[in-house]
Amino acid sequence: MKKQLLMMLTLMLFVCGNALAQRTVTGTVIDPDLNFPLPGVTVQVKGTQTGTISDSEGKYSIEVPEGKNTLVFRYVGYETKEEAIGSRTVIDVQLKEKVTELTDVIVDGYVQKDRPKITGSFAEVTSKTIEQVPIASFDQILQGQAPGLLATATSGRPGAPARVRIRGSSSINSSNEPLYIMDGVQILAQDFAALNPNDIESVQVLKDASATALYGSRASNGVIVIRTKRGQAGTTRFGYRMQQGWQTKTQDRFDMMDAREKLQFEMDLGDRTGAAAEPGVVDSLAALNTNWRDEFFRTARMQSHEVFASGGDEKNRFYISGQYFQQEGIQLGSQLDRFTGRINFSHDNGKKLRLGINATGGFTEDQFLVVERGANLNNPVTQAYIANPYEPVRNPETGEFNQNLTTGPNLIRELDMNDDTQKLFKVVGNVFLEYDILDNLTFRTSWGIDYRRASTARYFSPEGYLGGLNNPAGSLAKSFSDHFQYVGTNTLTYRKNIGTDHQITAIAGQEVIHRTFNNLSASSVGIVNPDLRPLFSNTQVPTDARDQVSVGSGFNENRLVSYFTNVNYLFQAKYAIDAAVRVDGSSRFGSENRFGAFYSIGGAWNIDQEDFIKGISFIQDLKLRLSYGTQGNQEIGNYAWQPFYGAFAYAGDPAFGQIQPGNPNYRWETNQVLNFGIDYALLDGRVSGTIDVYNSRTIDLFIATQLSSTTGFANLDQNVGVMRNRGIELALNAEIVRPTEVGGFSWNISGNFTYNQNRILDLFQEEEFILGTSIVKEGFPLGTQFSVRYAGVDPATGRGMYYDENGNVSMTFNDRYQVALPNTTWDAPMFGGITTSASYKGFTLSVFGSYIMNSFTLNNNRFFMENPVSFANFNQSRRLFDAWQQPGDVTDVPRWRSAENFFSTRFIEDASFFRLRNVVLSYNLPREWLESTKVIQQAQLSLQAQNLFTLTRYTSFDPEAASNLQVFDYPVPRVYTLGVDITF
Amino acid sequence: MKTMKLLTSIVLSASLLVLAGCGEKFLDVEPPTQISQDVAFSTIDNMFISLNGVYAAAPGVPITTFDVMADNAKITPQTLGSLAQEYAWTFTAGGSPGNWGGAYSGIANGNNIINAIQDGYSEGTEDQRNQILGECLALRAYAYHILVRAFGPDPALNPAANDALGVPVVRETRITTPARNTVGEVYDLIFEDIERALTLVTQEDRSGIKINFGPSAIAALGARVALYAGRWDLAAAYAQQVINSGRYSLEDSEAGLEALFLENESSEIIWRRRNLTAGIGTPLFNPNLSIIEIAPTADLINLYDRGNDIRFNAYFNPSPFPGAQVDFYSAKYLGRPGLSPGVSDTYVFRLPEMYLIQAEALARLGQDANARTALDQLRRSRIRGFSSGNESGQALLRAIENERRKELCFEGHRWFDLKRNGQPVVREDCNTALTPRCRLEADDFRFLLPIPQRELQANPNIVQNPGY
Repeated sequence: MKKQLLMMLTLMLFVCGNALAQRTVTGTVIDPDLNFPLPGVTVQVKGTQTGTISDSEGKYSIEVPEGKNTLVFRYVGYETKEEAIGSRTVIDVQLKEKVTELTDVIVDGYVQKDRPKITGSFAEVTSKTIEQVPIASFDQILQGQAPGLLATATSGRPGAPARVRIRGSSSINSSNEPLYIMDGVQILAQDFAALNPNDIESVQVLKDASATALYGSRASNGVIVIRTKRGQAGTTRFGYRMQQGWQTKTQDRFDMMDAREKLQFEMDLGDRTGAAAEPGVVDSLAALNTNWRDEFFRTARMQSHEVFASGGDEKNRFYISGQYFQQEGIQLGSQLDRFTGRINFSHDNGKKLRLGINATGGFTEDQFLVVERGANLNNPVTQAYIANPYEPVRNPETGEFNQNLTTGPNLIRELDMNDDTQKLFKVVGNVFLEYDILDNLTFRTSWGIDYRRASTARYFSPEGYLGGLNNPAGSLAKSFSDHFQYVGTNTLTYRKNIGTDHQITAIAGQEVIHRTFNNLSASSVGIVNPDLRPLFSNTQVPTDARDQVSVGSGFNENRLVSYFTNVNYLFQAKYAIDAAVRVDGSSRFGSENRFGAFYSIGGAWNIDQEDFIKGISFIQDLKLRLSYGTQGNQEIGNYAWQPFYGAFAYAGDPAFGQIQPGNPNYRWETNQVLNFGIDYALLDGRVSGTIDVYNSRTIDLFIATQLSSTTGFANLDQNVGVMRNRGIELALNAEIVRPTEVGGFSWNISGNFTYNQNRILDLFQEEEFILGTSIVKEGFPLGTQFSVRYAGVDPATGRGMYYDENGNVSMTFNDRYQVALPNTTWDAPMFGGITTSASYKGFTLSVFGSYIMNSFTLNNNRFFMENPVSFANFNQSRRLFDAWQQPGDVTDVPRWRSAENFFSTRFIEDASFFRLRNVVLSYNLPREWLESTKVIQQAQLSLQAQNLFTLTRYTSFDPEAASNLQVFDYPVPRVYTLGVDITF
Repeated sequence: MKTMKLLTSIVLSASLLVLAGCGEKFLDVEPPTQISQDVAFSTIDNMFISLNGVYAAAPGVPITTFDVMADNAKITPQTLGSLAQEYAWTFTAGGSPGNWGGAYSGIANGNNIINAIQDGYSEGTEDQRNQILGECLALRAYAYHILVRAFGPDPALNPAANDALGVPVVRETRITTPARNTVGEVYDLIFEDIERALTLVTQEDRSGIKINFGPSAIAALGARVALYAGRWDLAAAYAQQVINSGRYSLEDSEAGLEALFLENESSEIIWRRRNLTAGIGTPLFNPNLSIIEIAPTADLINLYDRGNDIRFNAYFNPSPFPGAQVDFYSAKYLGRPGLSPGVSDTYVFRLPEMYLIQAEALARLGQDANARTALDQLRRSRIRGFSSGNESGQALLRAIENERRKELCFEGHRWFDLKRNGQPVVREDCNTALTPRCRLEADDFRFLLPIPQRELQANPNIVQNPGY
């Protein structure tokens, strides 16, 4: 049967090729490292459409037309190999796993192009990297993996998304999140936790205008194109992947006082007599010595079980997977449970028609803390630090919960009785159909959806402290929301090779996107019985609470209609030129500027194809790229351009009044991006990498400009202002030892570095906007800290000193002394990652670290933990023991009774770090062992540690910041996992 | 193969059609919780709702600012910081006490309706359209008067003020940067609007709770504006029209006056601003925090005949908070029973002001006897056992001013009364810890409030008042 199929395929391809005399070549393809046959390898006769695929034993057979003499072997994740046939009829091939992990084909989501044709700046992260890291939200895995991409964990909560920036921030008032495309469908830049990262085959990061050309109007923050796994033809493979993990809290870089120290501190301070009134009391209180960190944080379990099947034949291929993922949070009360399934199926009728479906469904249940982040006494992380150590969690005698602490409610008890959950159902998928109208011309239509339904419930028990704040006690709030987006894309792709000199790839297409959002929410107070949780039931809501119910709903939508084209021409495999135009009409923009055009032009020179280079033995790949073009940003409110009236009430009656003046000229923010890049592989490919230099200017920034109040409005949203990002990106990969050289031992190192300089060049009417403790100011980068400069402690008096606006030391503090701090932005300008891996006889050790440099964050925690003036009744940091005590003391901690404690640069810290993100030791069981089982084809055991250590000077729990200040954020955990990966 | 081709062409043309059908219309989306002006004006019912929006946007009564800036109120040691610059006369363009943006927001909403009706709006009956148009014109006049008396000089005793810079006159909603018109031009528009409004509006109290302009409320506005403009005949005539309407009567009991401010019910109310939520009165008395931030000065308190003046007990209570270091607090905005503290209506026009306007205008005309009659009518209702003050000439004018101060304290008048009459602010009871000065000369530049900084940034055609 198989042979028949192969025959048919061969025949079919043969029909398309040229009918000349032929010969048959057969052979086996193996992976030399694993000594394992490779099924599903594409074997192609170079310069023709003729090809076949290796079977489950790695065997292939192919008819080679007269006049052709080279076979090309391609396999995802492996190096492509060319073999001259000569007179051979049996060619056995060893394919090496690709160390650079770059595929030869770039898929930008609309069209695929061979690497020599590429003129833009791409970075790629493959499944191999992603599968290794058991993190719920795949965007967090991207950290440090691609030059130009900065991913920061915003929270250690299971499933929390990362903050992702590509080449810095291009917008002040709009979104800076990249555009995410999964199998051609734009997906929301959130709730990645509802998708299974292991379904991902590759992630392409599209950076410059040439790379993002076909996403033009939405590409100003870069594009992340996710391609999911496809079935491989051949024997069906089944896999089981299990990961079991333990998570702990990482070590803080400061200490809190213990009970005795805190009591002594209070007595020394002398203004608090409650807790420490008598010496006998002090001893008994000190004996309690509650470590609230230990109470709130736990060693949390995580587990993941996944099965998949991949297979098919020349007509039908499939990839099916299912996963259960469960992760407890290290913070008591938080947990994520996820179920996902995927089916990717494609059919090729062997003639001219191909169709298929790629679809995934995910269901997650999140247990949230009621409050996360912020100096809020209901935030468990806050209480973990500033609850007093001389207060017990439970009464030592009765064992009952201690209801209220001097620092607020006992959140251990509250977490036990209150609930905050979100259930999320997510479906992403597309169906597509391709038809070859002519040999060179293919029509494709694809229709995809991104659907998300969330239901939330937040319950406060009437018996709890927080629930007791309601009158009557207890409350319940529920909501449903529904996000639906469809994307329809029609393209015509034309590929034509004229001789061997000219290769043309052209695409023209249309696209339509419609997104709607609906929600309904309701809440009521007054819960009679904690076992019954009604919203509106007359029998169970107390009479005095029946009018305290509220209901709300919302709806909004936006639409996009687009037309695009891209032409790529490659001459003699040396010179490529690529031009693209995309025209979009967006419902978000004004009637006068509803359509925007974005374009790019790029050129590439594959120097390695030049004869004068071919002779140079140490150059394998060398390519120069240059591109210029525009990218747009449309992430504004759906109705931001429209003039409209709103409804409200006056004197208890409905009223209409004008709200928004509207701007019919409102249009896209536009990046003008110039990019120059070099791709290289030297020394027999031992050293390879890329260098990119770019300059990106964002013009027409969305800014709410001030209007003359005589218009009746305060502001008008306009496109004014200019911002610039420019930088350099380096990626380097070195194979230090190859497996064939030292008896199966191999070692390589790869790393990347990005420097991105952001500058605000023009803000139109004003030179600066102050945003609390940060500032948006011309000539400074976005994220610049705005603070009073701290001049240390006066050794004579122990009081804090500050620099005034003229730079002179002042003994008093004044808000007026706040300045924009040069080179002090929290949005890191320098970052990257470094990976090294070594293999020997089935063992592989890989170590990955990421770093950011020159990031400055306001450590707001210290404002509360080193503040004996305002927060003496909360637990304090041991750093206070370094405070000034007598004249002559030299310290940077002011005296306790300084009667001043202000936001100043005293709390702004260098949050640069190097973090050992991931260490994996894996072992592939020898093939000889597995052969005896007759069933198991491949088995891998792995041990992994995430976040093993962090080098930083930052003195809070975690230097990774989601904003310019950190306030008791959920710390990112350390994770140890054990993994088993078996293929049948 | 043929079927394939057929399939292809079907798919192809279908998808092309789908997209071709999209086009511009596909891109028109409507916000679900907002409406276009067309919809807001689409029916006469909606037009009345939009009219209610103009009332909502109309400037409110600043109950403390212009007493703190003058001599009726002082800031106590319990202050949370509000009105500090106003009290010390250190306000700048960055924090102008004038309600520039708020007033123009009301004007813009009104202009939309005025222009729509003048341009041939045909929904509803002519009476309904006239009523709406007239109310909008009155609201516009009211808003412009709020503006011009704050930012420009008053013509009352100084006709040259008519040629000084007033505020921009805007009659339609457009994104523009207009320059300031003269004070005279602003008053011309105000009088034109009032006169037209009086010919259009027929319903006296459309809402039944005196929150809408009717003929009497418009006349009350006319009386006040005429007084500021120095058109004494007109002021007296408009005031007389209100008094003669028979719709209002003076309270003559302590209980009646208390109900006016506590229950917000009284026969004195001509036009009020309804307030259901904002705790505006809490700076004057905050029972939750046990503080008084702004208190009446001894200067004001000592003007009352405590034994006989029914206003004394109705307007003031003894302070229960020693930290405030004052003997009395203002009881005008304690808040309606059942609502949060300080949630109270405010009064733009009350009947007593009409007697005071009439008296002042007649005194300026030299009709002292008639002026005294009007003043005595008010005094007799307020002061037990009072028959007549028998003043004339300057003494009569001073008596009118005193009575005005006692009657209308904490209702947003005092600063403008001093300004209108060219008098300095003289504070005897003055919290010197919070202000470097206790006297503001009549010719001080601060009597013309600064145009807000953001207006200067956005509008290059605006000239700032001198001194800022």
